[in-house]
Amino acid sequence: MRGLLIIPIIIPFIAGLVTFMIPRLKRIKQLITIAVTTYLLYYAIRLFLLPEIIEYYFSINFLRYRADFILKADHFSSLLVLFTYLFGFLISIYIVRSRDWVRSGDNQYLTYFLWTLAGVSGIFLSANLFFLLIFWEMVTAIFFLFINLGKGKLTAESARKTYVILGLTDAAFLFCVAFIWVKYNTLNIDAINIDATTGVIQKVVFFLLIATSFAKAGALPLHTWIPSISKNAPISVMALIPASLDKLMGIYLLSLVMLKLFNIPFLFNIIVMLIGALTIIIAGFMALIQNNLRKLLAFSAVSQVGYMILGIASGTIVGVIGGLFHMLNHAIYESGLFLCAGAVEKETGTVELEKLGGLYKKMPLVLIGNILLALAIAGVPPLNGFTSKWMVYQGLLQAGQPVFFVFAIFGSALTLAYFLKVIYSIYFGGESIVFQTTRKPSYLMSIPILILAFLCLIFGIFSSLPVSKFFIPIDFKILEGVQPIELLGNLSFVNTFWNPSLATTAIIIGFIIGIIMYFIGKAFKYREQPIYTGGERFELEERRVPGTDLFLTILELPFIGQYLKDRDKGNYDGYNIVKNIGWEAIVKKLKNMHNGILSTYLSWCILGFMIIMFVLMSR
Amino acid sequence: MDKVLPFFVAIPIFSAIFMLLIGKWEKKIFPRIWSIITTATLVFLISLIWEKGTIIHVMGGWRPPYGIIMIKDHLSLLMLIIVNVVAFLSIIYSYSYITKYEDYLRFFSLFMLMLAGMNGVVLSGDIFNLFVFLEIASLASYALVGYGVGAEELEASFKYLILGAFASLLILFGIGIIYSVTGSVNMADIARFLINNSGNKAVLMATGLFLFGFGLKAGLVPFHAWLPDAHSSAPAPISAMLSGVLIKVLGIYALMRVFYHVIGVSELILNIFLVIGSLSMVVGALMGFGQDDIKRLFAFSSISQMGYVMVGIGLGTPLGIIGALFHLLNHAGFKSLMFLSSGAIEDETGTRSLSELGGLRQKMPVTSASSVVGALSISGVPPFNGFWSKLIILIAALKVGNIWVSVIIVLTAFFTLSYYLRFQKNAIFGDIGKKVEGAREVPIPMVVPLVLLAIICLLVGIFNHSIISNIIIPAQETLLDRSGYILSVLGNL
Amino acid sequence: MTLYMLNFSLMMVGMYALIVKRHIVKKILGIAIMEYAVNHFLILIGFKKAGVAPILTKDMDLATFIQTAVDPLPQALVLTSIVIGLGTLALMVAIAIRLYERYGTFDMHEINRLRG
Repeated sequence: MRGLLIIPIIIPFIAGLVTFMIPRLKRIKQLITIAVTTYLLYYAIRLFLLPEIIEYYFSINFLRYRADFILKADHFSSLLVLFTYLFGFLISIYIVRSRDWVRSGDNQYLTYFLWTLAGVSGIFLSANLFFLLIFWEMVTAIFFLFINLGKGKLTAESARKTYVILGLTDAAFLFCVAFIWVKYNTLNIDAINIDATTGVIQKVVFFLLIATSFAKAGALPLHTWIPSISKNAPISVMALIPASLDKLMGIYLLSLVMLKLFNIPFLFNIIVMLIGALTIIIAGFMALIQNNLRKLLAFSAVSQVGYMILGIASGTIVGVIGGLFHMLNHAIYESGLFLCAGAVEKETGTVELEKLGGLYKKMPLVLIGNILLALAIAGVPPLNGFTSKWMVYQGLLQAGQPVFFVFAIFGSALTLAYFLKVIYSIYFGGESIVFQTTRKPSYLMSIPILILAFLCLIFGIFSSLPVSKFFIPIDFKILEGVQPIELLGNLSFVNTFWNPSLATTAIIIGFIIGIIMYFIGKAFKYREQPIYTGGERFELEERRVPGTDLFLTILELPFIGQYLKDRDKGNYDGYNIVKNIGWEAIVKKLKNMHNGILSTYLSWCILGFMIIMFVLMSR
Repeated sequence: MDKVLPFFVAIPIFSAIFMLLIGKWEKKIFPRIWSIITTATLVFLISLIWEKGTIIHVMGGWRPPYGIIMIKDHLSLLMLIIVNVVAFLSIIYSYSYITKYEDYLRFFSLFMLMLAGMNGVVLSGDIFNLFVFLEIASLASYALVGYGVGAEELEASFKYLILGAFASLLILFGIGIIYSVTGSVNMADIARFLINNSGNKAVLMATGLFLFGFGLKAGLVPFHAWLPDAHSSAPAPISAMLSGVLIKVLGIYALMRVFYHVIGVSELILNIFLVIGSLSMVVGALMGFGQDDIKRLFAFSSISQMGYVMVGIGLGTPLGIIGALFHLLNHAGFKSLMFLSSGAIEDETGTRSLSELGGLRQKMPVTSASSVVGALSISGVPPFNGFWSKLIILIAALKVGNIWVSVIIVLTAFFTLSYYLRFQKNAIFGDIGKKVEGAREVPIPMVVPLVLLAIICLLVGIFNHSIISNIIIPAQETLLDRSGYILSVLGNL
Repeated sequence: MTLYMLNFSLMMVGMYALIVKRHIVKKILGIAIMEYAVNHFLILIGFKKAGVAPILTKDMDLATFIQTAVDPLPQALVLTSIVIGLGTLALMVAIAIRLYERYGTFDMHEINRLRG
């Protein structure tokens, strides 16, 4: 096992190359992909279960500097690799039937898929910041190619935006890594300890790294690429990368920066927490007013990042564990939700909520999965989203930040609200036009969704298991010496104002009552009569009550409504602002200066020459 | 072995004349084959002097500092390799490319003259000869830029000619001043004199003149205005030569040689280098954003990349110079690759406009693949070569503690990546453009150099360590060792 | 010193013509004037008042020869530079004629198709 740590990187990479070489043999490519992800899932489980920390390294001499290529599978890394390949495995099964990779018209889908897995596991396994950076940029580059698989002008624009945001932060990351190398002479993650309490550059580097992780995970104000690409990118790509792997990567970096690499004043924690809280609220509202399922899910993915940030930045043990746990939970249910959306889109051909409705008859399995996942993301006990959010709340209260606590609770309510809308609009609320043409989704698509939903349930009900097995052994300073029993004792919530086991019971009882009432309602027969108005027959479509109208009133609110509308148009999108200013004020001016007249060019030369002479002579 | 050195100049000049003579009888096949033979010979000659260290050839038996000498040290060797390899590949490429013009003969003989001029600049050990060879190369390049004799080609050529001639005059003026101060044109002799008698105001004047003159030849901001016009109007192999080697030899190499070895660098001069370099990086990159013509885009990116090299030189530390020289080498590879592939694209589709191109990957797979490699290299994506050189320059800037410059380096790297992605997105990938529909893969002689250059980019990137330690570090040591240069030329005079 | 100053002003005249004048031929003339100025400067470097040609004959005393003879090297340089200048000038004029054929104007401000 020792020398083989390179396997999770090299095998998918080689497999990717192989699939690159055989663009036409679709079946074989698919088999290769599934075989590779299955094997690596098995490998990752074994790696995770190994008790000791494994290292693998060779060092190269680079310019008289020694650069150690260290791969290290400590607890956290192997956990993340395990989940990377879990998602990889599930989605590789899912795409057999969803056929995103065929529809995208490009034969490289599976290649990019495998390379992404290789890059991501490289990020998690690198114990050297420099190689982490290289894998990081590799993932960005592949992701750019990936989202280009969609078609049309909008794809190009949103791909460019994605690239600008991710690329700019990658450049910032590069700057930080080079700075750390030069200043501290080491890039070994375990050895770096930067004191950001003094020194301006150190502070800047801290915030640049935070921005890098925010852009990847998709927190305000660098989140705008996720909603933009969500409209056109293949949905399995959305489920794999922005919904799950990007969260793992971004929060991994965030936790490294906040908990391992830097020594920061508490003020910085508060700033980061503030961004997290704003992310929850603003993205939550944005999700509320969306009528496109893909965009709604994208905003919900952004909104949830806020909890992870709040938890990790709270600086308390419960909060940190809650944040990390939420990262994992989020990756599970968000990718599940995207897969549900993919199933709906594949079978109905649309993701506009207005056009959907009454699908519960056609896709019951997806419905069950979707409900569980939606409840999990909304933080309803006993699902996993509840536990991790609860821990984040606890952490916030322990850190003495009741304001952020209120934000977080409110965000949770928002989440519940818009997923109510989603479930209602898609599966209930009368049959729409597309209903007739809808087919039953394949089991190969339903099963990954159900597995993810099942995971949500398991992690919720037996939440002490992941907490004690997954997160407490992580070697962050703050988690040293934490005893599972103690922490779980803390988490028994007795000392707070809400008894969750009671609440859980109450909610379950509520559900049961609701179901009973539903069936009672069904039991009484009622007559259906076509509607006549002035002798004209109403069409089926107009008789429905679409779920999209549920929250329209929000847009009517005086201040918030206008803000949300503007935001939806992209008026507050930093990318658009910078693009306009940069284009109009700088590039156009420069272009106008190059006016093709020889005398202008000559006078530049003379001017430059004069300045040089002046500088030289003035000494 | 020192007898080899004059051949680097003599062979191309002789071959240019010979071609014109034979051209009376055979106009089409002979010049093409003959130029391939000539450049191949030059590449072979390099292998003879590869391992030999510093070689000095004394012309006509007059000892330095009186006679004319040719000197090959590690720095010259690096430049010789770049010049002749790129020339060789461009000539192979021209074998098919030239068929779009009627007159083959003059193209190849001008090409040979330009090559002779550049080899002369690199090998020359005296500053006036450096000027003469510089003029030969420049004159040939003026004519080659306007080779298509279309309106725009002529316009570009004329602007380039006026600005270039202006710069040459001022360089000559500077040489005159230096001569009047030191009484010598031998570079080592001048250097020895200036070490002993520093602080002469007239030398400062010459410094400014050289900065302007060589800066213009290197296409640095604010002297860059000719470059995008000339590089985009020239025939593709000439663009590759101009961007790949000419601006480096006539500009950067001359600046390095003159300032590091002859005049000597001071804090002030290094700072001027840094400012000019940063300015070039930013302006070139920003202008690159707004271009629709792919060749103009590449030309502005050349300005930007030369800015990197200038910053590396301007840092003045060994690491910075290693970065600069390595970037010089890398840039020669990927920029000539980009220009050659742009020529292939223009040949097949008849357009250079990004808005009209698209989907080339499906029609011209090999060209597309190699230009993607080039674009990735130039925009600094690991593991291609551009990444390493940019990284070294960045680290060098940080080591000096120059935060502003390092921020500019990182931002420019990002800008570069974005406009090259724009190129890839709009030209290589995406839906097939209207004009692309009839495109096919270009003939073999045009494909071979593209593939070779792409392989070079990749291999240099992967084996960056051995390239740096075998070629770049000796060159850097030579460059920083001013007294060693004087000693090797003049002995213990 | 006066000579140097005059020489310098000649150069300025050339530069003026080069930058300010719009006519293509006047620009070429500007370059030519500057070139003469630079060549003249080179000659001035080696110039000595009442100097003799730098040819050492048998009847000359070496010390007085060094005192009186002008510096031969700049003259050699100037010869080379004149040849180069001739080449440049010829090319310039040739291209100017072609430019006139293409654009139908001698005004350099109107020959600005390459821009941006």
